[in-house]
Amino acid sequence: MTTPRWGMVIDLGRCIGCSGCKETCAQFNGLPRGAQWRRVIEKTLGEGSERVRVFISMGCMHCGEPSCVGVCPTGATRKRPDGIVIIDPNSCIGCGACILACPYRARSITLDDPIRMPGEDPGITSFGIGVCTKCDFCCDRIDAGLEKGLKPGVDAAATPICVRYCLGEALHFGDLNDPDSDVSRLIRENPHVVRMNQSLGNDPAVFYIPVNEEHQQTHESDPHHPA
Amino acid sequence: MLIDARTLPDHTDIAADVCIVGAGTAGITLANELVGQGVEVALLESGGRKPDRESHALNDGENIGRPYFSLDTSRARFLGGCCNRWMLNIGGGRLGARVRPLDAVDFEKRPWVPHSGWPFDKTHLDPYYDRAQRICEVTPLTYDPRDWSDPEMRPILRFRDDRVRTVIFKFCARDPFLKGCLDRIVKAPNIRTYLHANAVDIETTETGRTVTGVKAACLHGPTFRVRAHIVVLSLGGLETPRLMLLSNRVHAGGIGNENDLVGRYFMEHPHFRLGYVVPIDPGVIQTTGLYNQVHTVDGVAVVGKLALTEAAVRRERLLNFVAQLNPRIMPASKLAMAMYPNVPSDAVRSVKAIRKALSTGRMPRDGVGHLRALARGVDDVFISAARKVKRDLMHRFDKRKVHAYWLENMSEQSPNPDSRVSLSDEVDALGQRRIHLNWQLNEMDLKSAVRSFRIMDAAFRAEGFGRLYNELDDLTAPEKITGGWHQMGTTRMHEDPRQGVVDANSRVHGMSNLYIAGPSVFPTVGYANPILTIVAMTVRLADHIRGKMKR
Repeated sequence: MTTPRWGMVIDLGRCIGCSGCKETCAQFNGLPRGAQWRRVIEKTLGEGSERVRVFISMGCMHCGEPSCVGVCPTGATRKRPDGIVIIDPNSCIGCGACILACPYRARSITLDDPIRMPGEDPGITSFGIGVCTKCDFCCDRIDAGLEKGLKPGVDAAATPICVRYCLGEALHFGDLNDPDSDVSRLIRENPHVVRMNQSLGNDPAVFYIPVNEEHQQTHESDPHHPA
Repeated sequence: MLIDARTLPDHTDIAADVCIVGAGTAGITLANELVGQGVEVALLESGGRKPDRESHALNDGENIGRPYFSLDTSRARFLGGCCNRWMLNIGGGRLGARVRPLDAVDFEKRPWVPHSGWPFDKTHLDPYYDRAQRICEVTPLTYDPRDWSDPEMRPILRFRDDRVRTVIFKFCARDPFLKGCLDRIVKAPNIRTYLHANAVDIETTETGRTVTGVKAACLHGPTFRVRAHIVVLSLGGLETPRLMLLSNRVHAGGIGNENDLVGRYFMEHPHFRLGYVVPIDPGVIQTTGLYNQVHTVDGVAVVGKLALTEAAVRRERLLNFVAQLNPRIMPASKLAMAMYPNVPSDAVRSVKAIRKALSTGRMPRDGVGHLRALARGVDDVFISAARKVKRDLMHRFDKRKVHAYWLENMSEQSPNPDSRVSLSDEVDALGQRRIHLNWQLNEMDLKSAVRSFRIMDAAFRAEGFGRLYNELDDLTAPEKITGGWHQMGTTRMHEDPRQGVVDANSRVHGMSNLYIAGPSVFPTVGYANPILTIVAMTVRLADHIRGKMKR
């Protein structure tokens, strides 16, 4: 069995800019202030009555060739065999080198740390102050799901929070190495699929399907989406 | 029954007893109340079962007042409406939103709050609040903090200062609406739900006193008409006034707008960070889980907050106010601005204005005025400069970490006719004029929040709990004020048509059969999230409509 490479496909033609990905990410991961694992960029094209709005959900691209890993002086940032780039907060010294190196502005420094209460979800851990943090594709959910025999991207419990709660079902997740996965199918079926700043050679694992105004009118539920 | 309106023949005429425009929280609640009641209901929803970009683009508009959320992203234009936007993690993988009734004081005519006062008091609405809680599945009904706290794990903070109290917010999951109510509605033989059906005009008789029906259009599809004995608008606080202003064939200023009130009095719940509470014993934080941890009691997710008592609101002539304690470990230097704030003085503001102008190589406007202000308040300038030095020293040298609460408020906004929705000259894909939102806060809104904050500080100190570091002064609005996606007040309720758009039964003044459901009818908004009041008011309206149909 080949090692998976986890990745995401974001269909911009289905994104309504609700920020559900950003909000649920921050809540379920108990993010401290300053940390923003996802953001939604709003763009307005054209003017007046002709204007068109585009929303781009962004986070860590979990690059195949991540710029952040090489510049980390302590080895806190590393890439797992399944392609997920993670940070060990205990090794991070908050130097910010990775923030400068990342071409996607996916990283941020924590300004404070929420205090955990007795009885609180033990899955949420402390971050520490002044350390770098970013999206980890909810790897704890993926790992726990795989142990239970679940399939990330198909089974909601093993799928990143942002994908699970995406209102427009614009975010898709799965194994890029599996030709039968939802993400591989979408990449295959959409000839215009793009990756951001591809020319930099980072080999990002997040793909975007651009807005196609002719096909944006309505979508009914996607049977492949784990929502 | 769900019907895709795009499949209707062009110019179809549909007959119904009741036409509900908008299938959000209010529209769903009303339709659910009319299931099996012997009335034919047509429920119109602009979007489909899932969101789509083109329908959402119809919500686009422009903020011309205080910075606010983009108008196309802060609402949901598909089946379920804003219920789909309830995004709080309430445990068990569920998403939901806070629900709490307004306080009794919120219904009162308060002489210090212009335009305040509902046509009835809270005791009138209480039975409807009970029904609303059952619909939201947040029973037991009680909101008494003693029923939701745990003396061992999550005790109630006791204050000798009688101006501060604990209040409980419950959380309503999406499911009672997006599954329970919607399933019932879809299966009900007497309710037809039309998807992709955008209301574009409210049609009336020649006299303009009776609505004959609603004209609707599909994007790239047919137009059709729903003729109904009763029409209820439940499109939320921005689209309801928009549709009324757009329906101007008989009334030039829009339907129900003879007194130029439609769209005015837009209110939100201003959210901003007030400052920090530093407890004397950091260990106390572990005992305040009631206030900062969404937890489940008797199957209901709840959290506590600190509010002013109603007596204090009346005595101190304030707007209603609630604050949340968010416990944080933070660098001590983060407290610098709160410990050594700028002096709120004209002289200090003049120094800043002069510096800013000179840095761009220009002379300041009204230079003489600035010099006069400087002369009057030179001591304020020195104090402010000394504080800045202290702040800089803290940022540079103080490396301690402190356990503290970040205090964030959700306060009442006072009704303000200049805070308003109006039509812009741009049109959407259906040729309908878009909106301008001019959200305004006034001095009272800020002063009241700051005063409330000081009361809380006094209560904390009296208890030996800790002290509160304020970041605000009375006159300067904090840089970052957000709302809560709570768009309210734009078709306000008042018995006098010169002061309100709808009467005490939610009927539009001057119209025999046009009603409004939703937060746009709230004349004042308290601090509580609007959902429970929306549902309670809609249940009340449903009773009224049922009674009217029987007659």
